[in-house]
Amino acid sequence: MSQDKPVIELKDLTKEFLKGARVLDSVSFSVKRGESVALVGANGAGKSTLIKILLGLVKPTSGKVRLFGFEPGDSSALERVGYLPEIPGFWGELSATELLAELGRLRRVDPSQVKKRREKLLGILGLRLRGVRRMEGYSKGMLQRTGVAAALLHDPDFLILDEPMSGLDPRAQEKLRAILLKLRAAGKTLLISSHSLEDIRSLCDRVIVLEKSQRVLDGPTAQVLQELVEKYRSSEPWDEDPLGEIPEAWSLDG
Amino acid sequence: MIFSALLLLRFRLLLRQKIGWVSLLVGLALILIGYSTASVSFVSPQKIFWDFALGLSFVLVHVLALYLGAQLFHDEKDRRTLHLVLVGGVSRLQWLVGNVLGIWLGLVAIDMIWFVTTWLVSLASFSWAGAWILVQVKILQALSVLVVLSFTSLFSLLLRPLLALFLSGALFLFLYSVSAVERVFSDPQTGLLTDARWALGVLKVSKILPPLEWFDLKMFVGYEPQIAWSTLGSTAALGLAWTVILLGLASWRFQKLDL
Repeated sequence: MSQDKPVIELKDLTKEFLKGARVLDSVSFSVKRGESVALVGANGAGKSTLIKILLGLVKPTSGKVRLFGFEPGDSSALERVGYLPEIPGFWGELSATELLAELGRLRRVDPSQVKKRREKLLGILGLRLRGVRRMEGYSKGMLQRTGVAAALLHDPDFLILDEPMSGLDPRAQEKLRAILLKLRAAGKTLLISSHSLEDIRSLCDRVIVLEKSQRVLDGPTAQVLQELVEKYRSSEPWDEDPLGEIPEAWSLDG
Repeated sequence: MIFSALLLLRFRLLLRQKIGWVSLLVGLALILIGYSTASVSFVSPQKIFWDFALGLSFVLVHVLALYLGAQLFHDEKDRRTLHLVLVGGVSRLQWLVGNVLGIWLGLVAIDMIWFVTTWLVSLASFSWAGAWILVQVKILQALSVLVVLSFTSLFSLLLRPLLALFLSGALFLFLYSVSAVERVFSDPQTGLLTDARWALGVLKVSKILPPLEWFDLKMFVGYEPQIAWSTLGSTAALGLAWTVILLGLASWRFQKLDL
């Protein structure tokens, strides 16, 4: 496989669900190796659907989608991808240690490597002691950190992170930011879906904005964030369920 | 390797989940209660004990198969562990077959624990070491559970979990009533649809599970009946063929789903 091939290639990607709702409308962009891209948009803009299409969990209605040059869902592509969903899901009957061992087996990572990496990741993420307890007793922050460990275990080339800081305390957020910066420096490709402008500014060199199922802005971080401010100076950002006015004097009655 | 990893993961999860180990303990408790009741009987306590234990395991293991099969897809999807595994490069077919066989292995293991307990109690109390028919019954039961898991997992991919469970239960009861229904339809004295050969044809084809009468052992001390191994073999082949067809349909449906 050519090293020049982009990591993600989307051309006129459209997704329409059965009830006629068009969630993505002719979205096109590509992401090169080593890029760190933020995916931004209001609720319902199509970010999660786009990520699921890339991962082969949802089928596109039309358009071309390639991940490392392969069709989405192809195991040759997925073995190079680490994914942290917005709400990670695990089996509560397993501990973090056991989960990583199982994921290592499923991902065909050498067992000795799994052991070494598992110890390192759990140590870095503050789960060395608590990692042996069953996950049914974990807090949101612990689950999120377990999700980070699961996404990094097989040393992927491309990381997709959906709200990575969600549920993490400030120290853990700082730690994760540091990890992601190191991964970026090591040449990994990052795609981060986030509402946090601080995270976008510090972690990403490019921002893609989705609005009403379409790609509306795409460019360097500082430029796009400036354009966003200009764009919404006069009008509210699109949201399928926009925020309402807060009453002058707080009251829920009348 | 992925396939066996999935299978063992599901097996391990089943034995750790409450439903797994609670069912195991409840089954063991009921077997011991059955022994207590049988041992005070004056007539064939050994037969009563074995009839009770085998009947109990038949019902419990099939109820578990119906429930676990109907819940598998929806539970894993709601928990997002389905996504976790698929994003790891596991194909949908591997996921489906690995998990169904993992549940099957877990249920067979639970059933074997019940069986060995029954056998040990029987050996200790009645000095009866068993017969080949018991092994045959366990093979048939394992096969039956596999077919039931296959059609419940297909229904769970087509319907909501409660509806999938209901339809699976109804189908299971129908399949185990087929012989009785066929006898009624075939009897000219009842006058019920005896000319409807298509109905009889459907009933004959519907025999995808081993006949229920094979589970109703007529055991007497000193008399050990046995099902012909060739008959057992052909029944097993039919059951496995149905398993492949049902899981094939389930896999086809699974490929089409947006998750």
